[in-house]
Amino acid sequence: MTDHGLFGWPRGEITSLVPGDVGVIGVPSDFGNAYVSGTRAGPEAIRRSSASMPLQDVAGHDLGDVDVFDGADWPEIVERTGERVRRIAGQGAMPLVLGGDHAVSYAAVSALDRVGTFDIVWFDAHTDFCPWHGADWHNHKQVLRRIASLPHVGRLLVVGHRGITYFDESLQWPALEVVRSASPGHAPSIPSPWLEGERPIYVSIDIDVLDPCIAPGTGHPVPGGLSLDTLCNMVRTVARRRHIVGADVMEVNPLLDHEAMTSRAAAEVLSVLVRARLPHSLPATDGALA
Amino acid sequence: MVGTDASFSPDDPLVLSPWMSVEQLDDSAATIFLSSDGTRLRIPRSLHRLLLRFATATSPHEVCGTSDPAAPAMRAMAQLAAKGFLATPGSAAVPPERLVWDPPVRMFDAPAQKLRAAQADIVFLGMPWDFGSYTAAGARRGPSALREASLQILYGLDRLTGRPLGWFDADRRCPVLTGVSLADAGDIVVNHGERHAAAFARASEVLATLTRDGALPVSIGGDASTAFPVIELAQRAGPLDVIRIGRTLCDANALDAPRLTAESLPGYALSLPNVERYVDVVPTVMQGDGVDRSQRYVRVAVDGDAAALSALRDPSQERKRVHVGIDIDSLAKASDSPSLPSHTYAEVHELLLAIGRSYRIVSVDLCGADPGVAGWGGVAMTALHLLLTALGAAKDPV
Repeated sequence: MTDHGLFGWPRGEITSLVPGDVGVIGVPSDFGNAYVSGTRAGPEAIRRSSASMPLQDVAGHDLGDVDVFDGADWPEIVERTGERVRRIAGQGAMPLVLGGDHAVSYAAVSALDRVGTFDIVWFDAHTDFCPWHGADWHNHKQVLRRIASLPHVGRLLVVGHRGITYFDESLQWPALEVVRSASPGHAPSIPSPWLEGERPIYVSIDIDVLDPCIAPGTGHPVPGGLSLDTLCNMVRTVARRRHIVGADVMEVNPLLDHEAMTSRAAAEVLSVLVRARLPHSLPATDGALA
Repeated sequence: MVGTDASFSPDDPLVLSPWMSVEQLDDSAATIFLSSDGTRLRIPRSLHRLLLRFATATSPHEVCGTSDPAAPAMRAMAQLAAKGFLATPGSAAVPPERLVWDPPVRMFDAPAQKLRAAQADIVFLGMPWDFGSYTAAGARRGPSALREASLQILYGLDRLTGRPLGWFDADRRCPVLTGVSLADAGDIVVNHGERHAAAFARASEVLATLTRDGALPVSIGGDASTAFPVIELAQRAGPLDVIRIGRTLCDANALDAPRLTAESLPGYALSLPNVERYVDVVPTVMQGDGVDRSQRYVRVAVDGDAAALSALRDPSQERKRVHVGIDIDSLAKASDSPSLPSHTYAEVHELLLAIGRSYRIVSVDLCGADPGVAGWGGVAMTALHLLLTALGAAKDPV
């Protein structure tokens, strides 16, 4: 494990956090990906890559990784992750989760139920809306469908969906809006209604939203993805205009990477997000949670 | 097709093929396998017992206790002889040449295609050959590695009608290949050390068999030279243009090269009687020669004059027949040096759709896929997306 946390932030405990801080946890799990493993090494790879881009102007603490390889099953990992996220939010800090496969995002989103209703911006080559039938388990292809079923989740915006799929995934949920990766001659952008309003936003970034030429280290790459500049610009825009209740970056797989291109891209987009987010903290949701 | 010389007569002795083995045996049935051509049969245990009596040369009459050709046991023996499990004594010491290997998994998990005329609309054939270019080392593993990657986007059939479900192109927001059936015939056998002519003759024979009822052939390489058998097959049916997307530098000398390589492929293709024009589509930064309808070999740059590809067509003709080739090695990838001229996915995607609108795509090859490159997952999915785009352009052009 690296000595310093993400962006050189100190390793710390929950009690180190004060309102407005960023609280980082890693979830080194690839339980949710049946096809390829390796995202378990994602959190450490992102931390390593972030070492060259220290953020001294943003307050954050890295609380380390959730225990995954101690015999726990997936529901236990979800519970452990959720508990950490709840406690970070309870301090008035913003939880930032390093995955792990994308199934992990459910743990973070479901744990923020006390924040009230919030919307989700989901940067991803896929909509992650495969059928899910209400089981305790879900995988990374079903995760957004399960998240959509949570009562405190409002609208969903998927950005970067593209490629060959089994069916039209953009029509899977009434509250789901999809921005495709690109149309000829036009870079995608965040729809203007998503840049207005008081409702908080959770931002989830599946690194496969980027083009495989930029981020090859991921399990399900799809050609024709976003450039890093385009992704960073969209994340910056959202973070400046909407209140970010939590964020994650998922699906970085160092075993498939080339010269750490993917983990570096992940660190870069996270640095954009935490620098650009509105300069107010979350209200401490419930002191008893801390 | 694998042959057998066991011309069946009830009184002529036959012997078990030395290439037969038993894979599974229980009280009621046996699964027998013929390693010379991959035939696998499940037969009743009683028939298996009869079969074993041919361990030494024996006549079917003697084994079956009758010479009546209509007797069930005699009919079964005739079928086993026809499939090669029984052979004329002394004839099977050298196995008949095997033409294809069964892959462990099939492209998009489509059905396996036996070595006979395919009833599917599209049939895949792997060409694990990379001796045609020094720089293509590793591409022999392209067919099997692409099949493995293709399991992320499976071929599906409607559970009630059996109609192929096809896919959905999220970029164009339209269905792709709905109702179009696929099959995978496996890989051409390559005996390492043999001349390309031997392996490619095998491919030609297999392709001719597979496409006899009209299936569109798709060759999966291998290096770029592996496109030759499928081009040769396609031109047998009439005038043909060849459009290949790559970055191979072809000069005048290569057009007359004595050996079939990636570089000399245009010359070999143009020497075929019905190939009228060969177009190399190269990356933007490489100089094209411009569109000249009087030239049989043309090189165009994808972002410059590729848009004018349709000008190469004779406007008096209906959509001309064309073979389309895609060299995946020429697509941009994570490990590329910035100075390397490369195609972008978006450019090639658009180009394939444009070709489908202007031409009638009758055959396709995909080559240059090397699973040893860094970021193979992205390369493979790029290749598979472009393959499905090309097939969609062939079967449902819009």
